Amino acid sequence: MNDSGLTEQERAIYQWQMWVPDFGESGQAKLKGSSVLVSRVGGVGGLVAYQLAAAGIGKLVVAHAGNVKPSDLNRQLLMTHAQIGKPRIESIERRLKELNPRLEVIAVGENVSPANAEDLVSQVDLVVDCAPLFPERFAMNDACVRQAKAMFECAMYELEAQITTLVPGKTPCLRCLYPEEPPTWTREFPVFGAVSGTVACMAAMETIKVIAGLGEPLLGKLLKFDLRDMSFHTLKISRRMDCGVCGADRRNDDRQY
Amino acid sequence: MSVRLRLPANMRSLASDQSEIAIDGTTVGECLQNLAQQFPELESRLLDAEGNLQGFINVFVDNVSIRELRQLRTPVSEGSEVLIVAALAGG
Ligand SMILES: [Zn+2]
Repeated sequence: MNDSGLTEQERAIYQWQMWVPDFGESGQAKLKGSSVLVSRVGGVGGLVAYQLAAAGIGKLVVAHAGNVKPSDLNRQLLMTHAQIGKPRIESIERRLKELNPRLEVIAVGENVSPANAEDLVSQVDLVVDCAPLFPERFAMNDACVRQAKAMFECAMYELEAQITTLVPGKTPCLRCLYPEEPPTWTREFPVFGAVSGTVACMAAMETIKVIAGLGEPLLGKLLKFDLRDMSFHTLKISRRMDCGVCGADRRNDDRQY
Repeated sequence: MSVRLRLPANMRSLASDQSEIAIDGTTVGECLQNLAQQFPELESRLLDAEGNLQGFINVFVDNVSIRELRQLRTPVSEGSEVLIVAALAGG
């Protein structure tokens, strides 16, 4: 152990990323001291969790229900063939610990809902939203706004993906961006693992940046890209003052949270 | 006036599988109306019954949200890029 609180083994494992000059040992120590909720932990969340585990995050809370299905395996890289028919969360926990046995993993075998979002978010410093359904995303957003915690919002469809970093009071929240959920969204969607993995790696890097105070996170900016023609757009987004969740003016808001 | 209108992946099947369409109009609203005329199934994806932008759609003209401009009355110029961004939740 040295001044930064890193062990000799940790210094050896993270040596190459500590060569990033404005990250260094102090950035590594911040990662070690941080906790992140990732849900779900499939095509996007699995890669977010894996990259954060590799980078030396101190604690991950991972939430994902159900058993591994054959159709998970094209993208949910924490699931293994041998685990088909058995709980996804077991596969997730095992794979994360195989890579980083020093990592503290809180494995929750359920998806995020309004019933558990507040509690799950309260266990961590930051949240990465990787849910395949809007009610789950909104539940995490609402809890993050109430608890003033940053949420990394990443989502994809087909060869297209979007990512932004949401900081309560500073940037829009998810409800500012989308006050309503699209009625046509379905639980199953076209996806290559390389697309969900691309946006996942970006989200992991955003998380590392915010924890370590590195670079410029996507604050008030939505990065939208389409790998079909490799077009990237960085779009300015702003808060809605009448937002029912984070808005300054909630007097006329009759929704329950 | 002709703009380049870019559709999100989940709407392209409703527009003969095109990702980018040249559309005439002097405002964003006109462009969307003209688009909906050509591809009627897109109308309810973009606009509500009152003709307002749906709450799960954002439109950007040359990377600026029309919410920051003049909403559907935002003027467009020849060659502007009108980007339609749909709410996604693939995770
Ligand atoms: Zn908001």
